[in-house]
Amino acid sequence: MRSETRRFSPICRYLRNRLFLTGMIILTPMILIAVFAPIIAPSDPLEIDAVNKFQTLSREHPFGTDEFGRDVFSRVVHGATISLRVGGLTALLTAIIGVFIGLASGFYKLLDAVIMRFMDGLMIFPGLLLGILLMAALGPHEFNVVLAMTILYTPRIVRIVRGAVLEIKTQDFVDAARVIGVSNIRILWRHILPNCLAPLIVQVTFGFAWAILVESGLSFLGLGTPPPAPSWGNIISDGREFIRNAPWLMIFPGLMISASVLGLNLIGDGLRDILDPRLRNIRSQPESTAG
Amino acid sequence: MGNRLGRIITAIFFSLGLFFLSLMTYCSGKQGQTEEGSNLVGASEEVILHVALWTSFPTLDWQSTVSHPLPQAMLPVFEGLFGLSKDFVPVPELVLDWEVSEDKLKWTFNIRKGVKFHNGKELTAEDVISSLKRWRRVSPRGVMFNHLREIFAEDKYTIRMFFDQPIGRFLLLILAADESKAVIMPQEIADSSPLGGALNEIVGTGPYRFEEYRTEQYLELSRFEDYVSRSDPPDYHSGRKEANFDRIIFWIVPEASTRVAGLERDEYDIVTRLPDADYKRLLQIEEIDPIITVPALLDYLILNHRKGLFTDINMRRAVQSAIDVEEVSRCMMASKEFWTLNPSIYPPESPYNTDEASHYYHQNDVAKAKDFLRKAGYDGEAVKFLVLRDEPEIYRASIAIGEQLKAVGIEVDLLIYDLATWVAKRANPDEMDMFISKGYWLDPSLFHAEFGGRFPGWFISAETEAVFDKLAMETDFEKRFVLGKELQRLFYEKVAFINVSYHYGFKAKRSSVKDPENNLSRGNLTLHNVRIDR
Repeated sequence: MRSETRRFSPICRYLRNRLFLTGMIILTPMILIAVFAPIIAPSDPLEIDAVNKFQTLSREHPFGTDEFGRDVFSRVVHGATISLRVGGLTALLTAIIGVFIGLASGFYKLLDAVIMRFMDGLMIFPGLLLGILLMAALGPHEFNVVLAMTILYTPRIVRIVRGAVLEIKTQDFVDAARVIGVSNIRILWRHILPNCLAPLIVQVTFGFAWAILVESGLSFLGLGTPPPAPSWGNIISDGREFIRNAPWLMIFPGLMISASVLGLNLIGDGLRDILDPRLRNIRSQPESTAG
Repeated sequence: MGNRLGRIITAIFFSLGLFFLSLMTYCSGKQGQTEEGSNLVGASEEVILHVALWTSFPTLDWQSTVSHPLPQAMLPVFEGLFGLSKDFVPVPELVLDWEVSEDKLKWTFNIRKGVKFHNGKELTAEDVISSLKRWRRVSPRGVMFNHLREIFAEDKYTIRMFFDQPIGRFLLLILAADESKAVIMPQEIADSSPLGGALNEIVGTGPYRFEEYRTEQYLELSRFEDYVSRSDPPDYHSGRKEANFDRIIFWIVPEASTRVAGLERDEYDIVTRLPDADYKRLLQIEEIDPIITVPALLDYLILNHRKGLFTDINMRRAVQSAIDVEEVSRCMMASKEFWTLNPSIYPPESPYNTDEASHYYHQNDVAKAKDFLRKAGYDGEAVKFLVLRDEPEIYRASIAIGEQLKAVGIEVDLLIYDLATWVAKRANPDEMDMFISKGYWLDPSLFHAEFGGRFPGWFISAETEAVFDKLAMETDFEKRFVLGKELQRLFYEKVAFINVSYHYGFKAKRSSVKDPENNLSRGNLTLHNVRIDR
């Protein structure tokens, strides 16, 4: 009965998932803010107005002003553009690179040993530490942040894709395709890749959230998007010195980071439940086996 | 059966855990007690002064480095032939008296007798000579001794110096300046530590002796019981010095908000380099005295004179015309108490302060700047602006100037680095177009170190070199003042650098700390004669 109603409409299936729905409700306004930042922001986020610095919250400056007299609301709004752009680009790049490497690694045994050892090597380092190292080597630039985080996150995507490939390639329809003489590339592209997509999409969503968080962390340490560009991490980092006197400098970008990361994680969880019902079953299994 | 065994094992682990937990609580409780005990000292117990500094020391070799906060920690340990007075003029410290020949070529110094080093040895002329020779070799300011032909001991307490060129009272300032100070150490240590930055042993003649330095943690001094003090009244670095503490501990606390919190919780008695945004709040707290320190620090924009865009005088003039000093200052400092507008290259506290050529200062003239850019044929090439993240004031000044330059049409690449990278990059003419630094020059001659072609920026010109030469010889203040004005005019006309602000330092102390001579309001920490009344 229930499975029948679930099959009723695909959109309905997504919206019935509370996690996904909550995530979307949080994230959609963020994305709208990021896209329409120049229209929403009342003033230039870089415009200095030294006479009016450290203004508290007012109608003119809903989030107050910072140590340069810049409008914090405008900065946070433009920060959404930067943070989501950096996060989104990282997610996209890791997905593309991860899929290629993962497919190759899962399908060709010889490549697998080499690639996976290399990926393991990358995964040994704590993310932020390697990020700091990479940023120090690459130099401060927005694209370098994306590059560094892509290098950091790709191994996780590769592992997920490879795992899926290893499982799928033993299935009958793959053997059938091979028997009728379909080329390897075509098998990978037409038969294996579409079946990997579900876990991939879930992981990429988490990667998006992770990238926003790490970008903020790197910016906070002075190694992320170079100031004066108002990424959320930068705003927090600049406001750190004035936390006692102007707490709004840290509170609002902090809230934005929390909200966007929460939203993305909820979406990720929701997608996992929707796209891969097996995982949900696995989650409930340990309780029964433990008892 | 297995179940019971499991329970026994659990019980054992649980009790072991409890045991360690109580052990830890006990130990930390004990530590807390001693800590508290030392804070609430009575007359019989040790008196300890806790000072919080903002960063650690790359080296403890004061002779070899101009970097701060080393002078703060080494002023109680070392002494020089001369020190700075309340008015920042040189006054004798280890020297008893001195004389100079008519032609200003031969100088004779008599040092005080009976002065003891921390290792028990008595100070003699040989120690002074070895120390000064070492200083000349390892100090970035050693070049100021270029014309020293000979230095020798006439007897146990007399030193003579012969120069190739006449040298005026400036010599005394060279010996007194507290950045990379020409401190006196025992001969054997000076001779066995030939390399700058690597001092074998920290032994001086000051009222406190060096005990221990734990990298990134703390530096500890203890009272030197055999200290031989001068008898004249206290005068900043010099005069009578009393060591009122059994120990002084300099804690390394890089996070400014932690220093403030530590001061408020009475963990530290004196804290340095506070964010001036906290000034008004600390002023309200009865147990805390905020201190604004002089002399004012000049924040100045250095341009690359050797390579790139700013070798063109019109480009430099464009930047000079574009700067709005007031806006930069407001961005740098949170409260008005901490900055001042002043056109001079000498701080307001210096007797050389002058408004010569002040029409070049604080122009904020966009049209004029654009005009200069047209003359220079500027094609929109991005300026490599090195920004130091570690110093919040400099960082904010850089951001503000970046915006001001963009407003007149100069493309700016803000390259933000940590201290080590910043220092490395600024020394490379290919990777730097401009950066902001800060400092104070109480005497015109002191500019020669930075603006004689050696310091990044590599400014040098025949006219200023001629003025420096005259200054080195001139002893009369009135004539030196005129030369100082001339130097300021030349710097402005040639745009050697650009004044972007004057700001004051900010430290604070608990009000239980008594500072009778008000020395804490001057540049570095001078901790002798300071005491605690609890």
